[in-house]
Amino acid sequence: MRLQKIYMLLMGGLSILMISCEKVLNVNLDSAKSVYVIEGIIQDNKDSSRVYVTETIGFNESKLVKPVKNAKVYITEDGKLPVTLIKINDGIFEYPYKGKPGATYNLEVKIGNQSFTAVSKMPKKVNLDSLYVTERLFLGEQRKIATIEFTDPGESGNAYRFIQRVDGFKENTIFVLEDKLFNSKKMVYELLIFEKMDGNEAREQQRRIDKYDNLAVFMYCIEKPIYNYWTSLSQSALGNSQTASPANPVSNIKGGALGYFSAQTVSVKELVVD
Amino acid sequence: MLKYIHKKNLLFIVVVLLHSVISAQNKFTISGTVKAGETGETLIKASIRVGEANEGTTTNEYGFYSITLPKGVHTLYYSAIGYQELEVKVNLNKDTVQNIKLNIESQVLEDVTVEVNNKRRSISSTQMGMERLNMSDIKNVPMLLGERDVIKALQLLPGVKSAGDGNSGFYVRGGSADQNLILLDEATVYNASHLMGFFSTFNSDAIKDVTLYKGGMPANYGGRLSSVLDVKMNEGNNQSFHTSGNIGLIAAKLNIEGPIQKDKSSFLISGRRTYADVFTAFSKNPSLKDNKLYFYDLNAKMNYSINDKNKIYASGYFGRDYLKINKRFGLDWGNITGTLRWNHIFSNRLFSNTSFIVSAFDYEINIKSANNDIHILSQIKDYNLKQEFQWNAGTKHAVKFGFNSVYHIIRPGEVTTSENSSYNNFYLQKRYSWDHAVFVTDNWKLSSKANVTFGLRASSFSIYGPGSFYVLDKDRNVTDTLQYQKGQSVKNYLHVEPRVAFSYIINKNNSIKLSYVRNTQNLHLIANSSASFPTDKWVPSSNTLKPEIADLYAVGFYKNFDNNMFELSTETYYKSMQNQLDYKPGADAFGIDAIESQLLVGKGRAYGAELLIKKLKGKLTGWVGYTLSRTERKITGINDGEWYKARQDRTHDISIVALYQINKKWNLSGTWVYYTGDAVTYPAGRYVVDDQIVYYFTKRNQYRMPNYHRLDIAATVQLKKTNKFSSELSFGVYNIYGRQNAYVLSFKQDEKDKSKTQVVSTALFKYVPSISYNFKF
Repeated sequence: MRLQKIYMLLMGGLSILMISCEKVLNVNLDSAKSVYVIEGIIQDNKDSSRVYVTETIGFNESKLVKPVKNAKVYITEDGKLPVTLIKINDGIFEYPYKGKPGATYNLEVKIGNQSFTAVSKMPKKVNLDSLYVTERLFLGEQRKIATIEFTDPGESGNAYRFIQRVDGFKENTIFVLEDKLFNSKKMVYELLIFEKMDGNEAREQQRRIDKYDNLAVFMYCIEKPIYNYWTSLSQSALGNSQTASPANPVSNIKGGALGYFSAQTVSVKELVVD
Repeated sequence: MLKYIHKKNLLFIVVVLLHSVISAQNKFTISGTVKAGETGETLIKASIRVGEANEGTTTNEYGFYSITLPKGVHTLYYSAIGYQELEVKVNLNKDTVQNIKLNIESQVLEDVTVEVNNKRRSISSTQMGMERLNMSDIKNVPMLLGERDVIKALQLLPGVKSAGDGNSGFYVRGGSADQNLILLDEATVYNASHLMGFFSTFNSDAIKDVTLYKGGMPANYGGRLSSVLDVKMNEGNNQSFHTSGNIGLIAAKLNIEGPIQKDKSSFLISGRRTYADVFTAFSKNPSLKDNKLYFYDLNAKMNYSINDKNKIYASGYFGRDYLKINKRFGLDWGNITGTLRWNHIFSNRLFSNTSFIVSAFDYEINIKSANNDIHILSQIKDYNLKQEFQWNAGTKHAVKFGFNSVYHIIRPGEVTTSENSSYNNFYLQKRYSWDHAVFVTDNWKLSSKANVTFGLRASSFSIYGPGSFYVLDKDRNVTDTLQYQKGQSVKNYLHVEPRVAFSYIINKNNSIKLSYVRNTQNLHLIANSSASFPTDKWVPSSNTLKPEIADLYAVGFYKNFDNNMFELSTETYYKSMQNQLDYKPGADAFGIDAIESQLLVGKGRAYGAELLIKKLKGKLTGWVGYTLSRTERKITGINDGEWYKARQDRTHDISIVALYQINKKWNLSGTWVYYTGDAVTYPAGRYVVDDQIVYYFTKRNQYRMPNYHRLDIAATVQLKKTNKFSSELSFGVYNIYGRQNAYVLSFKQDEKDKSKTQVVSTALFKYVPSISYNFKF
């Protein structure tokens, strides 16, 4: 149902027909004043609830990440007292408790005299039923495709995000679904690889899964605003301007920072490809 | 009810205009039809000039004319583009019918002089911002893959900008692509492109006449903000049977025409199909091999003369594109139009046309993935009744009036799926609306030097249930839902659209013109992407979505010089637009009924100056066009609510078209196009989210794409020419110096140094050769 993806494929097909060529332009990009980026995740498993506080990086800066060192981060679970998060590295803060499905979390980040807040309610947990590999023709080749199954609960309004890791490398395609079109159905979903896998040059060229690979799929139950965040990010903030005007993703953080705050459940399935 | 209102309005208009009728006995009317002698095709806008004066008239879209003159002897000169002028002397002492046949001009081409346009352009007419193309004008203009295309030819004129390299989408004077009213034999064509915009739906073999109004739209047109593109199909030869065709690199065409009753009625069938899919079948790349990509068009038309006073026409268009990837994904889309018309001549001064028109556009998507088998359908359909009277109200007034009623049904999206699929069936609400308009326009000859046109279009757009309609807050979130029953009125918008134009003839060769028009638009195409997709969404005005309104002011100066060898036009314009729409960032464009909640609203402005110099005679003909312009939008929620440049804001735009006839056999042609790169958004920084690089954006469209330029050349050679059979061969090269013009820009990190951001330009066409063979027998 990801029409944008299909169009990109399609334009790709068309441009092969029309002798297309790419070149890198020599342009001087002006950097804007940097802004803060907050990525907050509360999960229902241990040691995985973290908040990352960074800044945007200008084009002439060679850094890959720019952590904010002097931030203070607080999380409040409904009815409880605020917890000050422990700084485990520059810009990385840990929430030492397990999140609970159904609980509401308030985030507050203080940097100097600026304050940023966000609220997220952890959805009810839905588990992955199964993971298996199928084969199909895709991007011009017979390829192995990770396929998952899960059952959407009766009430509407559920949203999901999936990440696949191949031999531990994260594949960057953004997979999100909302149940508007499949409420209360058993979902069978193919994770077609469109993006590169970070950190592995051989993988980057291939964009595929092979025999003997360790395949892991993570399913997150997310809230609608977080679904909107990932949808808008994949449409307009990854640098491909074919499908939408470039824009910043729709954030649920108040106070003018980029990023998101998501309380989410996690379910994982793993296998070795044969 | 509404019918009565129309009748009342019409009556009122007639009464108001009656005073202007000059019914003195010493004046008589001469009327008739002007046709091409060879084919019997009626000639549109053929000129009828009286004596040496600037006085005269032109034929209407059915070849009919009517002119009132004092009693006495007159010399009338009948002429049309590409035809020999005919001189007729009449001794006018009663109302007279004078039907005329003009002979084609090429028969006198002994000394190889070519004229690509009217002998005398009507410098006196009040009409501004109008461009007419005759098929013979564009016949030799070089085109991408050799496929003649009227829209791409129009893009070579000032004020008309292409939507991208090789694209048939166009922007007129700062408007968006959906703000062009595109008509084929009066039927609205909702998606005028094939193959994602690389070709237009108009098969040039079936087209007789193309008129584009960039401004000063006559009051009989309405419903779009920026322009009217009025395309008329050929009638078919009523003298003898003919077959013609064309075999090119991308498509083949076949055209059959002939008389039903000689001299009186005829038919035409014209078909075109591409065969890109045949090439992909031979491709080594398996992903291409299993893919399908083709389109076809079918134009059909017939006319029948019942008697001298009554003639009926039926015409239709059917076109469809098919796209298939690996049997897993399929997309097909197309337009269907049908027009039934009845011309009735009430008197030699009053001409009537009644049209009933059906027009539809739809797309279907089929997706197969895992256990899922999904079918998506979306459609827009119109039923349209149009009545127009043309009244020669004496020597000083030419009046047009009538009404138009259109019923629109929009099915925004319907998802159906098989039983074992993971998806549920899903239906977006259908939307129903009635679009009514009455119009009147009076072309008033104030003096021998001054003309004025008063036009008025009053329109109403009514939205009806059944369905849910939404109440939005200021952030455009849904706060309430209102339920309406079948046929219950939801909202009614009334508009008064004045259309005023004035011309003043300084002397025989110079004139100035002024005009003002207001246009409104109640069907909005919501497109987020830069490329045009058939799945872009048509949305009607609603209780919360207000009609778009544009006011256009223009001034022009026109000059003919060197004994009408050259023609110069300059026009400057200012346009302001209200209720312009754009998607919210991250909008849900497909699966939502309350589409209004996904949109942002704002205003637009556009201004510019256009210059066009045409050389009309000699071995070398052609034109130079230049546009200096600015196009901006101001939309709450985009660019901090400040004015920003629209994507199609191109400061400079130059087109040079040169056609050279070497001898009777050989024609050479070339076009050169240059324009300032589109306004685009570049990132202002980057950051990392979930271990992935994301770009940070601040101002919308603050940068530009690289400037665009391109040279195309073509040559045509006549292989054989006899009365029974003629054939010619055309070849050409698109983008002959191989400039890699940017089609899209994308941003990525350098593979070698991840801290460096690269701007990558993708070009589509670099030297595209073409060859095609045309025949006629």
